[in-house]
Amino acid sequence: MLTTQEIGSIRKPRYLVDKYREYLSGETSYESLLPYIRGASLDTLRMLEAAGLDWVFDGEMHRWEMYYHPVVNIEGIEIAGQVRVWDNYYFIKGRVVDKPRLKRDYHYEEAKYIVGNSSRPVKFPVTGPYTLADWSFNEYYTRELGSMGREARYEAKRRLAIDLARDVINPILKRLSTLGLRRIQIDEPAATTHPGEMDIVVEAFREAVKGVEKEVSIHICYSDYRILLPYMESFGAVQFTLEFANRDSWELGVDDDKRIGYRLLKDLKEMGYGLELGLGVIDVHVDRVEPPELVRDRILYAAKYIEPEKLYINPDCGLRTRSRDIAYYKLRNMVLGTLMARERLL
Amino acid sequence: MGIWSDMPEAFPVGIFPRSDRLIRTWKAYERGEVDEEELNRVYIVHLHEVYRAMVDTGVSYTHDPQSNWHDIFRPFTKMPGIEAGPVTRWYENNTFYRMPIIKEPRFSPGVMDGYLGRQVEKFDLLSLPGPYTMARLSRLETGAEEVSNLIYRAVNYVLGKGYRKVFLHEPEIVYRELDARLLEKLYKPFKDLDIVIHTYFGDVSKICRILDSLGIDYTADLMETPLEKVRECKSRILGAVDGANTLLEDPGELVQKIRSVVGDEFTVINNVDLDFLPYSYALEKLRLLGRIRGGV
Repeated sequence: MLTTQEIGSIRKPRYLVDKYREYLSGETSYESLLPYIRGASLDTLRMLEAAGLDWVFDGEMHRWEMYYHPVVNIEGIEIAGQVRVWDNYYFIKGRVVDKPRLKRDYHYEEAKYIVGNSSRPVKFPVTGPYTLADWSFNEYYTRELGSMGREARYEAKRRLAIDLARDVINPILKRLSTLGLRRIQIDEPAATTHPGEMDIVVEAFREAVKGVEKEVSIHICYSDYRILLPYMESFGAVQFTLEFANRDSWELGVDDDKRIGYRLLKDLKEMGYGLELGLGVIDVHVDRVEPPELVRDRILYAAKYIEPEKLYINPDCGLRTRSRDIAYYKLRNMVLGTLMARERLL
Repeated sequence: MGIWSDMPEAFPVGIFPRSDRLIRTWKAYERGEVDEEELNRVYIVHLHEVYRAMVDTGVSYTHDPQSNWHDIFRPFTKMPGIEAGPVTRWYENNTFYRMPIIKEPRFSPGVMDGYLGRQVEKFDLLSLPGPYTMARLSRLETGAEEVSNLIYRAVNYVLGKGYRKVFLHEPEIVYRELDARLLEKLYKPFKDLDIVIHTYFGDVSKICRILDSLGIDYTADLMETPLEKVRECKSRILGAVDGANTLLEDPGELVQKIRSVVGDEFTVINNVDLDFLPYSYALEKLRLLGRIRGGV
């Protein structure tokens, strides 16, 4: 009950960032980079184990970034350049110039290494097909269908997302499921960006997990979850891992006026939500460390609406936004708060 | 707008992306590795580059790239009585803005000056937030009329600085159901000004009768508005070049397609800000607009 897990990313140590930059600028080979990746991977696994998490991962040390890492390994997608997210924050975006095909299985070796070096069960995150489609410039399918008109753009997006799901993500997941992973998590932060495309999100997810003999959960954050509610049961995921703490107050208590960030739970209960729920109890956008008592109260509040057996405890999102020290303290308090909640609920 | 020739007018509208060099310098400035003087120097070089690119491509009008605007509201959130609030998603995009928190807004010429590229080059056009969209996307602790007054003062001020026309960005009026009475109220003071209501992210044909009655020029986003429906509207300023996709349109095909439906008189612009593209692709789209204008 109340299994604790992380979400995905942890900030890379400085030595690894520097080495990655050398690699990305062509100054060094992947073979030279790999020992640094492996070192940081082990450091991070030990850090998460020391924090007391039940399920662990290596914080994406094998990946530069959740979008860049897949697209450089997909044939048919070329890097276009930097595009603004907000202020002076940019992300590298790709152009889909041909039907996407897997160039290289970009997760198998990574997962094998992590499983082989962890003393705890591993939950392994994979960027989902819809997010890859939504964050790319869709040239190939737009050329086929045209860009003018909602219908044409919807269909162009659908074809790209489904092809990515079938020809890129599905083969990766099938190979991953032969390893000793406890669970695979599909990350779809873009899922609710276009409310009119929720059908595509669901269809692409189902296509991606078709024939995969491993439990698959889905993580969606910083989204309008009201858009998601009517579709949740149709994904076929065992768990939705969602963000709540970012919306919540820091006051202790288990009443509605204290747990304002968790109002969605009432909606979930009303709609008869019967899946596992990954409960975000740690805000990844502030350095302030949540006291264990706050974590406890967030869990106890959630237990009013979701059976405790179905509750999993995690941060809102990946903790790469914080220093490694802060990330550790936050995770440690998350575990302590979970222990306190377990005692109350048992 | 402008003098008609055998080829359509064509020009860019909205925020133009930062060059890689400007992004790098800005990051270095935020880390404290370079001072403000160096950042300004690099920005001025950027303004010269973009201006030269616009002139060289032969587009009908040059548009201030506004590349030092973090988002369309940003100069205003530095003015008295307005704050930059939480990071908020900009419609259905992986792009975010700081939500303005508006209390007692006062227009500040000094703040505005720092955001005008015309201090450096003679750009023809400028984009500002439309009062309706700004009122709707802000946390308002005052009446929407105060937002209208603020933008009205800004428009007058920048026209006085030599800009020939101001595009007021109004995605909100086509993205969600329109409050026509509010729109009319907010635009009452603007009727005799050189402005265009710039709509995108929605089908303008559904509300063009309302906009026609305002007596102010407006744009149509052709990615959202069916071309045949544009015939029902008076607007002929068409967002036909996709500002959110690197795919380059064929200029001849595009012009022919539009001409076959709406006739000879129309203007081509990018539907949404070229800031959705990397710098090098925005330059390609600029060249495309130049080719449309030049009949190539």
